[in-house]
Amino acid sequence: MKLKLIVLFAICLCFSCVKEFPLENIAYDKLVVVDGIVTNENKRHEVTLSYTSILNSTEASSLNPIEGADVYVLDSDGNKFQYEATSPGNYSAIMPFKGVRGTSYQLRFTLTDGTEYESKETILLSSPPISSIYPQFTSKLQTASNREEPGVQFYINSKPENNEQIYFRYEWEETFKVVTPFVSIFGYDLDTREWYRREKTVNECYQTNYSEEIILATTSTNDNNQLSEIPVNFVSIAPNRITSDNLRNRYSIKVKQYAISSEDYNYYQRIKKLEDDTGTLFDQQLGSVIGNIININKSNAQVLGNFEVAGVSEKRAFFNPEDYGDSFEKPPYRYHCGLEEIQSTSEDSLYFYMSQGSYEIISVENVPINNFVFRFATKRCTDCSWFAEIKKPDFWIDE
Amino acid sequence: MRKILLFIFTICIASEVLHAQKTSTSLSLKFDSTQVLEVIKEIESTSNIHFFYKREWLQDHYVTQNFKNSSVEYILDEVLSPLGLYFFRMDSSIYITSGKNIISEFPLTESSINKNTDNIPPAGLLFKNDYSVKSDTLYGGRVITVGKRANFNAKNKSILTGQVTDLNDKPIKDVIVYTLDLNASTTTDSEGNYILSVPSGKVSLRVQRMGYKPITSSIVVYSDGQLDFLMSDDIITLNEVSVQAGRRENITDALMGLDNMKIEDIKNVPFVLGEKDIINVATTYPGIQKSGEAAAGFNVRGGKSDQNLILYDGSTIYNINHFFGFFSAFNSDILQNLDIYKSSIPAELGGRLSSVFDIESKTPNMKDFNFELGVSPITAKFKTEIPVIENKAGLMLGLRATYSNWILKRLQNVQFNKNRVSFNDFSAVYAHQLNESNSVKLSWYNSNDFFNIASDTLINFSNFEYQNQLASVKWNHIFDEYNEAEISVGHSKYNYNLQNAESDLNAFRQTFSLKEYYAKAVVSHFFKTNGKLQYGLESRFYDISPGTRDPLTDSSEVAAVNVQRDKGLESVLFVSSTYNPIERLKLNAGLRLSNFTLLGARSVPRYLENQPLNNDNIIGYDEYANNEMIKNYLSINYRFSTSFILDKNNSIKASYNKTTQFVHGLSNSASLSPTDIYILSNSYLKPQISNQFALGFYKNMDKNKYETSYEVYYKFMQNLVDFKTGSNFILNENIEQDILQGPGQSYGAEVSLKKSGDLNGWINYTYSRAFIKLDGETNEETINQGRYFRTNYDQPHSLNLVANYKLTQRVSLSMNGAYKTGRPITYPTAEYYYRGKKVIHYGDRNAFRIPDYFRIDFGINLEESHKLSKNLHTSWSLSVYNLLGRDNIYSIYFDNQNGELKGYELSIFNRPIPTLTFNLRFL
Repeated sequence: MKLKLIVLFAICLCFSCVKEFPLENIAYDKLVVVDGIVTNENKRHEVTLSYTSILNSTEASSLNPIEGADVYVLDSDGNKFQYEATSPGNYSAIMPFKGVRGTSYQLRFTLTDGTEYESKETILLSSPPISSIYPQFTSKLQTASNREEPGVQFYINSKPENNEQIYFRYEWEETFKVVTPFVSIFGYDLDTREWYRREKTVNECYQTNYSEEIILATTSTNDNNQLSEIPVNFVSIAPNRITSDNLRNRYSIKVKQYAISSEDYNYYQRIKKLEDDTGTLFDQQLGSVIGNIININKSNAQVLGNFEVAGVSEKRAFFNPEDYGDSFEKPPYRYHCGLEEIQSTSEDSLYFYMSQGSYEIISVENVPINNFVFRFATKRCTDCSWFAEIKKPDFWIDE
Repeated sequence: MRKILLFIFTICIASEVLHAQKTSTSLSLKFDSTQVLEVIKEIESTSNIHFFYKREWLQDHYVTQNFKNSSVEYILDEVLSPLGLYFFRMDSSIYITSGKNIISEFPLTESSINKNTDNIPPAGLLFKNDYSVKSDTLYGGRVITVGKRANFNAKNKSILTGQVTDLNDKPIKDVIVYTLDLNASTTTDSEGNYILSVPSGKVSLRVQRMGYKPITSSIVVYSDGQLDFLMSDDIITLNEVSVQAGRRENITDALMGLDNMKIEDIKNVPFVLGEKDIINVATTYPGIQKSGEAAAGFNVRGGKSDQNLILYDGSTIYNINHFFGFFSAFNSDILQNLDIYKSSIPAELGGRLSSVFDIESKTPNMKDFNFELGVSPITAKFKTEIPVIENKAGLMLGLRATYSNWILKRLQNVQFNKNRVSFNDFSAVYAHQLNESNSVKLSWYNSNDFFNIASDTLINFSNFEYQNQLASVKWNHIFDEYNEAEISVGHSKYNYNLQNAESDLNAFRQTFSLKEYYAKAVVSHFFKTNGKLQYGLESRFYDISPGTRDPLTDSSEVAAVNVQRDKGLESVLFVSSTYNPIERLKLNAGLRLSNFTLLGARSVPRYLENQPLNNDNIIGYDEYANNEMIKNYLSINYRFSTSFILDKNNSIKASYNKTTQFVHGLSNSASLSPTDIYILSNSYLKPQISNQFALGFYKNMDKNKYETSYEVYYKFMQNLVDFKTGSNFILNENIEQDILQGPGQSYGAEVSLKKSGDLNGWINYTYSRAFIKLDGETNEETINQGRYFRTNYDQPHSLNLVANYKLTQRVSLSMNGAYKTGRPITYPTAEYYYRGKKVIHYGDRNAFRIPDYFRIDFGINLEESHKLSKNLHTSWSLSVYNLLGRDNIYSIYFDNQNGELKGYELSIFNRPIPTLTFNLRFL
């Protein structure tokens, strides 16, 4: 909950109150939403077309795809890039293409009812390389918890090459190694009721997360025309946070820098502003955010979303826990883990434990007179494959 | 949250000398073993006084005594006290009581005035008899003659001029002076002067002003002449005075939509935390709405909050709040008067669309030194009046400061006890009566607010401070009895700065500042018949720095931003006249010609034609040199108002007003936020214009005990300022890119009832609508499909009740009630995904409303000592704010948490808040 300025004062006076109220759907506006981007990457660029959904609708029904649309992109050189439907609401360029710096691109599409839409032509700018990505162990006030949380802030530096490159957007992708506290050496076959030595262990995995926040930066307010100390990702290591052990092992972050137009920047700013600035007595004017798409047939009809044209540059960096400084302590594994031990007197007792499905065998010890001591740990302390990938990513570089 | 009982210990040491004016009618009577009953009858027969008593108290007692030129009071005292009887006098009635000494000072009511009117002989006939007519005032028992007997002509009218002052020789403005036959009336100007044309001969004159004891005087007017009045404070009966405001003035005056507030009147209205707040009381008047407890601004007749001109001794004050609107910027101890103009704005005032709040400081006491000290849970205040030259010059100093930091430090909650909140204001007024025709008043005001907020990421700044500074000099010169002039010069300054010192690399300081200089000359000419011509010149120079940002530390990488200064000159020529073509009809016409010039130095972007104003469409810049004219706007504003008196108790009024506004306040929210900025009209931002038509009917009933008014209005406005969605006007070099302008419409009706008496107060209902249309060329510039839509201050219904019941002379109960429609908000209507992120779509702007507002406050006032001779005056008051503890929603906001949109309601003061105040006054 966001408590802001006046609320603080009012609470000082002990006379104010913030309460949640049931948000009923008073009205529903069904509008066309466009989500598309063309970059200088050579790929089958995508566009998603959908209708807005009813507020707080459940995940399953939340995307309201628009099917059967005729979608293409035109560039200022007269080229036409036809798109095709790949899944409901998703359209991809039939042939991969690469946006060219200095060329402008325009999205056009026609719905099955004949309504035509087009985006404003936008010139593709190139993105300067990201010169460095670096971490800083710090603490930061988190709006979700409304308290300072310890964590590592990753920053980037970049130097724009020309004065066209003023507005930037960032996306990041983090991948980190997960190592469970215990290694399950033995597996168990519930059918044959036999344990066996594993060929491959499942205690080392790689988990990948993607940025969700809109991260923007601009050099327009900087004297030196440099992008310095731009915060991209903050990884909280507070115990109750889902990110708490992301930095326990080797960590990699890839940052994508999009050089965008001032209009796209403003579009993102308005989207960001609407979600950031609620919750005060000084609320900003709420309203719909309109991007660069218009309905050709009915010019005052609202069309949501935006068609972005951007140059992209990216950089990946790897970090180990010791890179975050001396004061950084390696955070504990995300789950609490303990060992249990049984001595099998009958075949059944092992089956009893293993059939519950939440244990894995860590070790088996022979004891005299045809007996075994089994050590178990919970599955989540031995096997990371159910929440992360076992396969090492191609880009991964070990220390 | 706990209920907290707040003890407010307020010590007020006042020096207003209480002059208890006993009326004296001299009688010479001789009693020889006369029955007391007969004594009473004798007095009744000779003096027009009526007695109320129980016969059995008096009939068996006898008295032997000679009275020569003795007052009735003296006689009664001598006669009755041996019998253990007491009496008290109310007007021409004397009540005799047994065992209880009742000390009472009821106000002299209208009913007592009108008693004599029937017997007045026609003007011009003068009999010796006329000299013996009783009057009940300072001038009691004496008929006053004015003018030269030699110049007497019974058929002529004579001009009566004079000054009304209080016991400290301070002139009293807005005193209504009228003949009891109601054929002539006028009010005093700010120097207490009046001019009245009366038939020569015998005239009964009534001088009346709320807060003062009314004077009724019989005079004989031979020719033009001077008559000054001295009015004494009506201290004990203040509670009742509030509803006498402009009694009958409401019927006779041509101005409509005018409210006058005497600061003393707000004494009995219950307050939050025991602070008197003129602005909060003003919002209980019809047509003035505030959107909630903490809302900093207020809306007048469907106008935006920046469309109110608030003047303090002639200087504009730009931020009228301390502590985000919880307190108004003024220490009410130093204030004399507040005039609120909602529709008939005099031609000499203007520059804002909706209203003018004309606040006037007290004129310092030039006779006696005094001081007052007050302590409330939040503030401490001090006021002193120092005579510099006796009866010539006086100085008043007022200081108010918070000690809320002291409270904040003691809060258990760590998050709050790091916060710092403080404010103070200081005012000084010096008045000098140079000679009979020249007087000078110097006024200075300064206020400071400072906040330090610990959790700054929420608001992006950690320190915030703002200052108001006002200074003015006013020179009043009286040429002769028909002509006077007033010249004033002044200055006002408003600035704020905020700092973010969280991260060294990003530490910055951001500022806004506004300076206004003005000079004004007004000449008033009073006609020999009732009427007035007023004309003058005014010039205001604005110098605004809309925003600067500087790095706060050496290592900060924040680039310095300095938004171009806005400089402009507003020059005004105005003329207005009041004229009575026939006695029942009063006309008031005004013309205000204003010229606004935006001045350089400035570089002004040129945009592609027929394209939305944005950075992509800038084709070049025009450079203007310092003080070079960039853009000029000329506007002619007409002001008409008229009143037609149907009869003694009924009148109708109509008015048309055109106003123009060149200074625009920018705020994206419903309330004025601390980061609001003001900008001037420029090549792209046109002046806002309003045309208001208003019609009213006024009826007084039951001898002016009830005053009712019914007003309707319609406003058509042009170039109202609104914003594109998600716009940012802070540090915006090209503000025109984020602003939308469009026509607006407001209309409404106001019904008001005021009552005087033991149960007094006012109740009013306001119906008010406000719409705007933003229909631009592009989607970005079009809001709600280009239709008219309600503004975020459109609150159709509001009902206010302020009631005071005088249970006994010492105990009074008071109650406030307020109801209003919730203000419009923009509500989410759908959601969608963009870049894998859920985005909330908001429906039409201002299409929904927050719940309605309803609140009741209750107060009990206990006056302890009523003895006039005592100079120690104590009183207790207990008030409960929001008695019903209703959870009034101030604001609704939405938060997207893990993909789920949640709605929150914020309410302030959602519990009953009791406040106990103890007042101590040395008189």
